[in-house]
Amino acid sequence: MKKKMLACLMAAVMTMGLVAGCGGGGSEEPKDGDTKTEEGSGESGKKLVFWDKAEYVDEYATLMKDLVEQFAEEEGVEVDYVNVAAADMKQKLMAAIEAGNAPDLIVGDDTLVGQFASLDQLADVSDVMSEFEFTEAAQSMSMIGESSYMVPQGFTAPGMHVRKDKWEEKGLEMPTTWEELKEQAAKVNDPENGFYALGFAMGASGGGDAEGWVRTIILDWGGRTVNEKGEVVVNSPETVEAFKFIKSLYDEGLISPDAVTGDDSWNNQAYLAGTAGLICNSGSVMAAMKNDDPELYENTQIIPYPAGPSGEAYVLTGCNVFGVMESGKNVDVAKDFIRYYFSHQDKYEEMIEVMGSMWQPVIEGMEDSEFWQDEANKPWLENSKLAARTYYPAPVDDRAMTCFSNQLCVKAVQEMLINGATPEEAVESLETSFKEVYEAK
Amino acid sequence: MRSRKRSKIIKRTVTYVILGLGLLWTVFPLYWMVKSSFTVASEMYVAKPKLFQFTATFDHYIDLIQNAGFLTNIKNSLIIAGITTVVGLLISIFASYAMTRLRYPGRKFFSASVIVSYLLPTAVLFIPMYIFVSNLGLGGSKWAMLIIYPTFVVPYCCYMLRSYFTSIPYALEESALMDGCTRLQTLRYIIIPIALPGIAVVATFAFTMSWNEYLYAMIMTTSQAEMTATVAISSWKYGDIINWGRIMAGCVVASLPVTIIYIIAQSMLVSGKADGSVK
Amino acid sequence: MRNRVRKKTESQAVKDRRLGLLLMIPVVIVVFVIMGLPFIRAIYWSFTDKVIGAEANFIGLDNYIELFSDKIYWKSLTNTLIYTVLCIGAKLLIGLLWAVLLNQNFKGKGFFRTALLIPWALPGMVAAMTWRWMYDSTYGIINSLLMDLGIIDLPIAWLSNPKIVLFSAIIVNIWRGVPFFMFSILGELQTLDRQVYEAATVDGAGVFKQFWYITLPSIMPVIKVTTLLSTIWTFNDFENVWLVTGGGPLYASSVISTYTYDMAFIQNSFGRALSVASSVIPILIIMMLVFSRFAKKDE
Repeated sequence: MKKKMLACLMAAVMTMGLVAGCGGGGSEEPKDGDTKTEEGSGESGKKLVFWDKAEYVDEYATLMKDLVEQFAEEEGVEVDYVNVAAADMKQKLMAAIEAGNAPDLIVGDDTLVGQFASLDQLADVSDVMSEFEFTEAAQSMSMIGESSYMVPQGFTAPGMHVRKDKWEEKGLEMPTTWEELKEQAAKVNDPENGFYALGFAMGASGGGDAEGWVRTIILDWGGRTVNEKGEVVVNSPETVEAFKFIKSLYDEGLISPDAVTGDDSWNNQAYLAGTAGLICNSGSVMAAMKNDDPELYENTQIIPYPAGPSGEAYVLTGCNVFGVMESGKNVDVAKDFIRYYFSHQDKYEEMIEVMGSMWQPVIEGMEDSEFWQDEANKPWLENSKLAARTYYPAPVDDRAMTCFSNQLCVKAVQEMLINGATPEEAVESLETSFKEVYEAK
Repeated sequence: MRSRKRSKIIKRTVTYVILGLGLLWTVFPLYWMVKSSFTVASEMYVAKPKLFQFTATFDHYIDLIQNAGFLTNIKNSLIIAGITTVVGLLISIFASYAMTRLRYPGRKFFSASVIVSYLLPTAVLFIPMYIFVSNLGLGGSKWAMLIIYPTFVVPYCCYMLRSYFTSIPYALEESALMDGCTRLQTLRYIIIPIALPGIAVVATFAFTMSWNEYLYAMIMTTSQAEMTATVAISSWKYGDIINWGRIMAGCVVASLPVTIIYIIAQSMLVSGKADGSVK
Repeated sequence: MRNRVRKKTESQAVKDRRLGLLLMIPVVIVVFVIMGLPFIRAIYWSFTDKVIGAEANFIGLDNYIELFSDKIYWKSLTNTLIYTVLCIGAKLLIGLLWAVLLNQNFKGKGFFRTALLIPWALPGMVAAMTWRWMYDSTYGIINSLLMDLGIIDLPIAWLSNPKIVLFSAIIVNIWRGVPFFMFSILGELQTLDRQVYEAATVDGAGVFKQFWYITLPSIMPVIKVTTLLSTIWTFNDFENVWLVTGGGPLYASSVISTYTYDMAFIQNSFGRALSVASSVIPILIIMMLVFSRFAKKDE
């Protein structure tokens, strides 16, 4: 008897799937940003496969989807619009390229998309760039080598988030230099109660926050990783001093020890948890706070980046960009969509605004809007205008992007923090790893 | 008599203490996951997490179903894992029978190759395999998984079933064969009934493996409508924001089907035990 | 009489041969076509300078030679071995213990069986995420709990101390893997003949004797298969290490699979990545042979 029951169980396990399959087989409605539009298929045979970067803000996908559908209808093109999680985008693209079914159009951050330029996967989009009034910063963002290979969609400038309440509690003014920031941090720091003054992630598991921050410090101290001519100049007293400064922040316990494994989401979470008092991040933290923790939102102030001993204050910025995949079958349709996108400026403005302060515009003439004149949003716009590319001042090429995406600077800092290398040794090993990339071939 | 009773008490106590500790260790992470899925967002990121107190909410679950369309992903997982289990199990039962009971040329070679195939790291295979299924016209489709999942389900089932089949004495079949049964009849009427508890265990694990698979599914599917549950959950990392509430709720939902099957299977096994010998 | 029987078995042998091959066809397709073809391609690529989207140029053994001087590769290999041995040892012991205890009659055993099994039902990704969240050294529940209980004074850096981080990943693997051992062994224990035990008890054999002389030998085949399977899974485990520690900090918890992934997708060096992954296949095969030797001895 019991054996029969077991048999039934097995049958149940096995048929569950089948039943579910039959039950829902016919009703595969597209949802959440996925849409298939059949117009024009068969006749023109044109199809646009578009992988967009999934955003935290749901409204963005809805707006983009509407626009894509509208484009499909007007142009008689079949469009396959898919939202891909940023963390998965690279692997999926690589697999798809290898298999010969790459999408035609992608959106991702500039270092991710740029890497595909270095793999000769991106089409030249200079023609599209010339048709619209992109800001100067946006134009330089589009370049790789001599031509444009990416069309900027929106800047994702970082801002320095400070816990106003904690700073005011100790009667401190907002810092204007890094040294000042460190002194203040020591006063605010309270690890006993799980509160660390600073939340600078230092993990090497992908993502650009940590690398961007280390490079900011190097630049502010007057060091350069690679100069304008493409020479590796990182091994300098300035860089060593910068590394000493970074090391001291950890040695003095101003940063939580687990920062060395922190990825891009680590600092967000630490800040949202109230365990970090100051972070550098894109506007995504603000967006999350606005939803989940209005009190923290009120206690947060965005301040200009402090300056280093050199007196300079760099802001290194990422940017969301369109990339047209050369190996896709419809380069022209993909370009047409980008044109369509920027010719509907009202839609573009709407998208930028639903993203809150997370995105800043790439085309001229949007600064005077009510949204960007708002005090809460203004600092972000300012930062995006000041912004330098993440690998400044190296020439814009695939080597620069490789170094950035391999997080060479973060790894060198880790060498110091984890393996106990001296700042001098760490900088030396950093030089070696840069040279491996720059002096290869 | 008394010493026997005392040893029984000691035995009981030891059992309860060890299993009790095991229970604590096992259940705590589960508790934490479930608790997080019902905690309001503002309480999720706090420095001193509270062990028991929280403000309960269904928001994450509502969000899961309304905004994330998670039911489609659950359905995909059910279809894929269900079909893979049935097909994989059938293939493996036949093959295991052939490997343990029949003599044919290349027998050893085939048995060995099934085992060796199981050693191959996924990391080596997934890109070439993606190309393979794309050539079959299944790139980006959930149906690609029906081609791929047997590659780990079948060798697994074969291993397990082979050992179950081997433990069944051949004498039973021998007499049946003498009486004029065909091979397939002995499989159907002798082997399968005896090995049924084992087959049930294997089926459950095969289903679990397919249900839980992540890396292949992550590479193979791109659109939300094609994703399986595990991939959908991981897709809720939006750049540098991880939607933990939704993820935890998704984890709970994705864990339910297999957990329920296990619970049913467990009660079956327990009652099956009362029968004493299966033979 | 005898002759007739032999004749019958002879024709049976012919039939068996045909049937055997027929029954193996689907498996052969799965193994040699679906896995075999991609595998051959992967092996070929490991001898090339393959990057994604470009033609592969044959460079002979260069990738493999480079591995020898690659410190991170050796680190990953050592870590993989430590990871496998510790995980398997712990999972086997705990799993066996639980299974034997659960095979008794006592109040609430159904509940225990069910509850102890659940981690295995969870997707590995879910387990990894949950643990990672719990490990966090500033706001993780584990540290705050251990501190409240007075077991530790300072938070333990589960994920950032290079000496600890691999063990943090090991714990998660054990947590999720023990039920597999427990369930497999328990499944076999269910099929054991109760009367043997009753006879043994009458004969005065104690609990440990019973276990050693009756239980263990009869569940040995299942233990072997389970251990072997789990060894393979653990050796090749990617998800768990990657999602819990990311292989970091600075490759402190890097294992072969995560190093492969890092090489392929972060450093975009696909040919080398495949050489990393392929280099351990001999180890796996040796492991396999040792196991099958053991298994044979038993039969």
